[in-house]
Amino acid sequence: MSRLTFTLRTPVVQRIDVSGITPDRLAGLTVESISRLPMHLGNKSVELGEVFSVAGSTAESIVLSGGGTLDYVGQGMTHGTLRVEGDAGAYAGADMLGGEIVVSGSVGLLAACAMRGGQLKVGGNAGDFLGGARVGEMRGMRGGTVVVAGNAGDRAGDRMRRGAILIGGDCGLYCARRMIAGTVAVFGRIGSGAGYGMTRGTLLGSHEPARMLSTFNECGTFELGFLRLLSRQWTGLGAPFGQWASRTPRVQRWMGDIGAGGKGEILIWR
Amino acid sequence: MIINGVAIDETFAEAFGMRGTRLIITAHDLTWARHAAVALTGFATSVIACGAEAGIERELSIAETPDGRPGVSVLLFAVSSKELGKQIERRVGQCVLTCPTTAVFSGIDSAEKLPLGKTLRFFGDGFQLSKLIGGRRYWRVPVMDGEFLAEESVSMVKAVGGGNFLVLAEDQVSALRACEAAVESMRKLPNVIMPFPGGVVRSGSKVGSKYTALPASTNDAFCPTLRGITRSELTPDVGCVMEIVIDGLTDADVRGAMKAGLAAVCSVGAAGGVRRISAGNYGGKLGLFHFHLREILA
Repeated sequence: MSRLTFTLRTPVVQRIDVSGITPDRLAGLTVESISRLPMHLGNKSVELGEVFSVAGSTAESIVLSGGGTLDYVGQGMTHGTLRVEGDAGAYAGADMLGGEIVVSGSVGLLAACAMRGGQLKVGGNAGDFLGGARVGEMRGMRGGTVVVAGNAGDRAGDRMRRGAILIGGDCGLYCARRMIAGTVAVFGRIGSGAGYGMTRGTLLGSHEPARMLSTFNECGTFELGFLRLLSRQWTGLGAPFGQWASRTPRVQRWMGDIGAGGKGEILIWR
Repeated sequence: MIINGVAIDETFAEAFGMRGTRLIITAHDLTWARHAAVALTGFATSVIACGAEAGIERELSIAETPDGRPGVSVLLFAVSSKELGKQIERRVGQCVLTCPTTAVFSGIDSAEKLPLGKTLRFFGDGFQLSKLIGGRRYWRVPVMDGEFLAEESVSMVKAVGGGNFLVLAEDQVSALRACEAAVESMRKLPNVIMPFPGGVVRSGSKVGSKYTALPASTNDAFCPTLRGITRSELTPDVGCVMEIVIDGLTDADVRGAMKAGLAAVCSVGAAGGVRRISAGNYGGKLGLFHFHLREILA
């Protein structure tokens, strides 16, 4: 299958803004014109060709050689696929509307912030504020799906409004903090402070948080039908994300944060 | 046209444009899904007085339902989208929401939507929650056995109601057996229901009445007991007439069901006491769809 590849000419230590490298922004452009596009490297503006060697055709499928300094991977992307070989920096999938981003390594801070559609798959770990709200914004992720095979940092799903975040490993402190709606599923351990300030939404896990907040009230253990639909959506994502689909959706339910209306829920699979 | 000793009248069934939808009801087991479906489709034989015509289409295996539980698919038809919306809200609210362990989903896709969980959610008194899963919104309404799950809206399609044929037999038992055979073969087909009890009607009607308040009255031309005093359509060898009414999602579905039903009646044949097959129409001026018996059986 033809695709467009971007290979770093040399490893760089400065931050690189790669938000311009998306299928929609590069549609119809030749390799030469793509190479002349401006981009930010540290505090300088350079031509894209100075940083990346570009090869291939059709921008519908893009492969980018990764690095922890590549910020804004796939920002605002609307369609197509963008694959990052290695790590990505901060804001991966920010403002994303559609299509698919696959990062084989890890992503930095604020991945999927303000994401509204599409799918972000991370093979490694994710930094703090996964699907969270940027500074000054009232809402975090607003749609789409984020799948992290490894661990997530602190405050995953902060002010999240809609969509699903699936974390295959552990998550840090204050997961689903100030969550407005949507679903965060954690297949590993959940850190302390989970659901702090949560108004609505669902935090679903295999294990109880390290310390359940006193503002969450236990409601009992139940079979909840919507979990059958939810877990079925995740069967195609492989292990560990498909593991719940074959199980009876029996969960222990805590509702809270009572200090913020109490309509959020933490569900622990039993 | 005579098939297996059964005369096929040169006539047609006249059917009408309706609005239809399919609901999928699931439950802990098939028994409870069926309880809900039977209640929902109760008193839904004719739009004349019931507001809707409804019936169970078929039972669904766990592989065929959205939540992987046993279920039943139900078809509902009404004369307008407004009436259909009203009937869905009332019937699901009183017969499915109330039935233990059930959940309800849209079983058909189209651009035209009617509210389902969107209005029923208010039963949750503020404790209801919604989830957007796979692009569809579902409402979780807390009830005494846990949560009632309902898809936010159900799709609606243009449909066909009132396909029919009349089985003219020598006596009640012969007519009944022939109709039972027809209904059994028609129920194997998707997208159609026979809304009357057991799929069979014995009180076929004509438009109008000597009583001005009544929009319809008995079809005296096909009543065997009136053969001597009315302009009867019946010959002396016919002692009983029964009708099968079919509603379907498309005219092709109704046509297919009629073909299966007519074939089943014909296979019972004269040896089984069947004399003729006819159909009900209003001269072709009222209904959009005409199903000619001989064309269908050709």
